[in-house]
Amino acid sequence: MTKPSLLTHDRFLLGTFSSNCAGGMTVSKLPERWVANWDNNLKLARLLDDAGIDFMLPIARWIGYGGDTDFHGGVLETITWATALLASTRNITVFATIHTVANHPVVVAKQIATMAQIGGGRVGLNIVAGWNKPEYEALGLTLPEDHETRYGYAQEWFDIVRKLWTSEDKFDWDGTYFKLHATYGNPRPESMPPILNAAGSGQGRAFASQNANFLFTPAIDLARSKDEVAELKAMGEKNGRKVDVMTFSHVVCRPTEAEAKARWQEILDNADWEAVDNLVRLQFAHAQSFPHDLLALIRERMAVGHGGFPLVGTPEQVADSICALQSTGFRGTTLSFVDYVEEFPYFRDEVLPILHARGIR
Amino acid sequence: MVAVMDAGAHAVVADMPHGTSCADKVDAAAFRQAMRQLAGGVCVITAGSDDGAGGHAYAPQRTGLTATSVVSLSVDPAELVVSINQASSAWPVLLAARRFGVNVLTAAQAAVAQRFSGAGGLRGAQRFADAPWQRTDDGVWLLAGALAGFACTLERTWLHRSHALVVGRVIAITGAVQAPTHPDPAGPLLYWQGDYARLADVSGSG
Repeated sequence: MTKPSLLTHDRFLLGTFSSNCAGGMTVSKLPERWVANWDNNLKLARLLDDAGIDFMLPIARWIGYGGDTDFHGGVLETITWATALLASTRNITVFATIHTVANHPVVVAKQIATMAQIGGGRVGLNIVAGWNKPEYEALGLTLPEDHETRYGYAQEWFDIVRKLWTSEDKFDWDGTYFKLHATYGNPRPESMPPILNAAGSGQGRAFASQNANFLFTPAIDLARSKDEVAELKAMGEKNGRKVDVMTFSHVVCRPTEAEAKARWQEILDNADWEAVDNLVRLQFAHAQSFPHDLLALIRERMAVGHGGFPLVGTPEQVADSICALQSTGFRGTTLSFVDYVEEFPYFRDEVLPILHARGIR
Repeated sequence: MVAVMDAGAHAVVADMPHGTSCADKVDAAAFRQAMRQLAGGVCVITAGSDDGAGGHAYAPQRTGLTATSVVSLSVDPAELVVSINQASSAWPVLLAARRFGVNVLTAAQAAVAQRFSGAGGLRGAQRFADAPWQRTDDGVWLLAGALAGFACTLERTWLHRSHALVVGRVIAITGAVQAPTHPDPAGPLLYWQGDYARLADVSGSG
């Protein structure tokens, strides 16, 4: 079997993010906010697959962020979601997002290997080492306060998964967190699935540079991102690995700039601010993904696109901004929309041809 | 919008056989040393159109760089050319914002030039501290007290090897227009032989 397409294409990668979560990436009270049911996800997946979009990435969530809408309160579980999508599509890569502490590595290794068969090698794994304390409490688990322990556990967890995918023999495992006797993986994926990790802390980024193919990080200020991306790639190279960096973006694309900006404002005017502030507070309290000195800016971007890079304007302007992400050094970006199924076709018809003409797709 | 970004460097090096260097290779150090003899007026190029106070959150965050590579291209329409290293942190911001400012500095503004050259590890909006920057209605940051300020929209870009040649269509001018007959007594800030200089340094003593 050939290597996963996500690791062999040289075009700027595009995917979607969070379509399995109620509200998607927009913390909004708008009546047209995203309904994350199976019908909508299947519709979206087929639109994306037909348009040649590279991947779909879900968020794994167990409780919502409160507010009037309980943003992300309703979420489709990602292994089952991804499995069904893989069975319903032809070319697109679909990730599962897995909390290491809530999922046993031997079970996950077999789930992903099964999905690799169903999807013909199109499955990817997004590893979450843990950040959201109330969610851990909802699972009856304790979130380690220090990033060393979180990623120490995650490393052992992934070492086991990797060994189950690559070793043909039974093996014993005598680690700090796992003691396994005569375990083995069968079936195994024919090639290593793409691994993604969204670490923000130093320890997390060390983990990503040693294990992931893609490090996923916010693009708040492109001037900072340019340095950050270069450092992250260099960190991977130091470990003898090619690690690419991806980010996430939120699209508000309209025929005129004025319409796009008015829509941005309308989304803000209808934001669920209580949920936004819970989201910001939790992100800042337990994770290091976002730069803390840009709070005012980040709060607004959190409301509209969960902190994603704004792709706001005409199709030409949106294409410009995607080119800017590429020249920052990013390998790709996810996209989100208030209503993915309603808005993606305009992006497909108007923005994708421009990206193609410019040679980045 | 007429501006078009070329797809990649490979598309614009066709005039150079094999896209590599000339047959008689010139020593890079010699070239640098020779170019150091060319005095240039120091400009700060600003990119990004946020309002500096957390508003316009959809706009790219402002940053900028110090450059001497500013050349007049056309008078009607008013256009200028800037050469920018694609590795600079300001380059993606300029691309995303599609507008930029060109500020011609006075010899009294060397500290501004240093901030924007990244001295002290300053990044992005930090470079705008301690100087009277003002945002035009078009979202371009210009420096009050500069010899001249040009607000530009991105008209065209050529990517060539490590650099991008950027054509800016001038949409507003500040500074020189208000005081054409009373040039700033400090004179222009120059860059020559790897250091900042002023006109008096090279012509006043004797």
